[in-house]
Amino acid sequence: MPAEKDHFEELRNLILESDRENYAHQNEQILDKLDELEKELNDPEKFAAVIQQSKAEIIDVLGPVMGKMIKKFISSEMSRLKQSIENKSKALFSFKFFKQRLKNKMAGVSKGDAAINEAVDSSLLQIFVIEQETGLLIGEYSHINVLEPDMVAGMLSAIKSFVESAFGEENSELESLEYSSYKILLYNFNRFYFACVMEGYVDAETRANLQDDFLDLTDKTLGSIPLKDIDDKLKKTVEEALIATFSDKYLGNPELNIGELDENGK
Amino acid sequence: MKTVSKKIVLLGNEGVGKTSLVKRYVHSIFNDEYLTTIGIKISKKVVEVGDVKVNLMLWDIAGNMMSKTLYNNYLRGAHGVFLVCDAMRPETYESIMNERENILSKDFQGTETAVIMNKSDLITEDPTTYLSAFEFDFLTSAKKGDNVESAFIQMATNILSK
Ligand SMILES: Nc1nc2c(ncn2[C@@H]2O[C@H](COP(=O)(O)OP(=O)(O)O)[C@@H](O)[C@H]2O)c(=O)[nH]1
Ligand SMILES: [Mg+2]
Repeated sequence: MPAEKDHFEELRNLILESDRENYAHQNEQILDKLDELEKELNDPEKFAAVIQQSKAEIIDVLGPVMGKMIKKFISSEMSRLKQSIENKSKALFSFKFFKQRLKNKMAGVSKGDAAINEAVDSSLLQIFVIEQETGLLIGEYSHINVLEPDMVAGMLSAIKSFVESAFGEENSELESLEYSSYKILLYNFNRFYFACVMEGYVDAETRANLQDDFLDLTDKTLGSIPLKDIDDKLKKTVEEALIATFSDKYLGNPELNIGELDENGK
Repeated sequence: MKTVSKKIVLLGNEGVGKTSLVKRYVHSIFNDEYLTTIGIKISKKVVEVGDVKVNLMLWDIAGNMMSKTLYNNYLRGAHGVFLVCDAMRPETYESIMNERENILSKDFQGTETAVIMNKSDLITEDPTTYLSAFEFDFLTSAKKGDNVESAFIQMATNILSK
């Protein structure tokens, strides 16, 4: 067990410390690490246990770094991998398969940085960060006065649980809720999710840009944040991170300028 | 003052008084009608433990008509579980004892659980004799308000001291 664990640790550190601009070099190193890991793969059962154990962290830390939009991919690959490892004979094959897919995915990753303020037809009213496991509010950012953000977080989580277990299959997640001209977009990460309250027409580009923002935010701050105690200290950290990400992005568009409005607000 | 948030789930048969216990002292509650659709009521209660303010997010589950998956989903991550029964209906005690066994035997080892024997105001005999066959942590009356506050405070205290 320690041997495998160390490799995951190394992989994680590598990703955390490395220069994020240098994607190509970094990807190479990651793949090297995966190669080493593969060599260590002599006990499929232990390997599966390690993967399972470090899954949450790996996904929050690795996901954003490896590029936009592949979190879900990793998440589903991880569980697929684990499943096939359980049918021991297929272990090595699965790992190769996993690696190949990851490789392809990384090759296709671009650092495309479309500015969110190009989206003019909708306005972002509010952002909640909510722990998946408990439905507890981790942080919130808005310029409108919400009566009970704690309650909203709990309710959204209950509704999400309801929808996902009533209609969902294993890996499906509720992505949005609509109410008259309001739309709540949900961006799921492993340990938490973001809920964005939007008003107006939300096009695909806006959704994608928001997703990029949340991936960046998770990459920079939230991915490695400990969630053991949900207290005001944690909330402050999260809210500062939200402000740092969103006050800039929305400058220049009064509709979307939640940073500035916030100063008069709360 | 430092503030922390915790998730508390209330379990127990229909009619034992879960909703009444919550309603009595909660800080805020959502419109009932809307929530019966998804089988849950969420409310918030704030208690103070020493110099810590604890936001208790209460999940009141109407468990009888819901799938096991959904039920488990609602329970997920709970820091505390109140198992509520009705002093007038021994079968409700049996059913929470079964539930406790199920919960404790699985993913809820680290979860604080407490048994509430509710409707103490309806007991006409000497309570000690009447209740001698039962083991519980709190004897409450949601109707009169007896012990309700202290049950929540004790739960918060236990969770914080973990
Ligand atoms: N006498 C008495 N009645 C109670 C008490 N708590 C609840 N009830 C009554 O029991 C019934 C069911 O209560 P409710 O809170 O809806 O139970 P739930 O189904 O567990 O949510 C209602 O008629 C309540 O008024 C109590 O402490 N004493
Ligand atoms: Mg009820």
